[in-house]
Amino acid sequence: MPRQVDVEITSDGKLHLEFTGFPGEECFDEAEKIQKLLAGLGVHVNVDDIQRKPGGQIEAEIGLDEKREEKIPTQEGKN
Amino acid sequence: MSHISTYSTDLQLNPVKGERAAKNDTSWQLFREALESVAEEHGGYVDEKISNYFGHERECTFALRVPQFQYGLGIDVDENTGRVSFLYDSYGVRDEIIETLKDDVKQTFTTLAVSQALNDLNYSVEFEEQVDDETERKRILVRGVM
Repeated sequence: MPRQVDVEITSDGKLHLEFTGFPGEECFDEAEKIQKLLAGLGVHVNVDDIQRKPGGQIEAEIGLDEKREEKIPTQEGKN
Repeated sequence: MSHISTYSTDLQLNPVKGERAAKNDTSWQLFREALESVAEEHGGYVDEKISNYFGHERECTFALRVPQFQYGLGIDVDENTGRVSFLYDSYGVRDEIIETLKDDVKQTFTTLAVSQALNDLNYSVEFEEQVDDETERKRILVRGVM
């Protein structure tokens, strides 16, 4: 299952991060790594809000990824 | 578990002494790259001095010179703290022009930093830019996939 981080940067400088496909609490470790790297690059962030995704949404994301995996052999077959 | 988080941001480059050290520091390199990108987008260039209504010039760390703002948007970076501050003469210039330039600098720099951070963590990175129809403000989406 691929791991995905979507970052929206708004015109007022806010960052919205969405973590998808991270098992357990790993997304929080990843968020901390990103924060540290950003600080080293000159962008210091303050946490405004954190929302855990509901279980149903996570299951839906995993289901979506399984469908993507099924498509891979078909694409390779065309080439 | 996966989650969604929201952050506010402050720009503070790494404190460096001297032009040579600044050229070798990634945060300064990214900041200059962001300024050059914004300048190009607005048909201008990056300089090191601004002027005021009376034509007096003042040196600053960086200056964004664009046709819409003839005095220039100055940016000073404190050598000791890395703090970024804007300086300019706004006489006769519409506030939204200046605010848009400042926002563009912050947004572009943050975008470059986010991309660099995701690259450093071995993500493959894609960009998408969207403009809000009502406010005409840009939203930039950076996607990292591993």
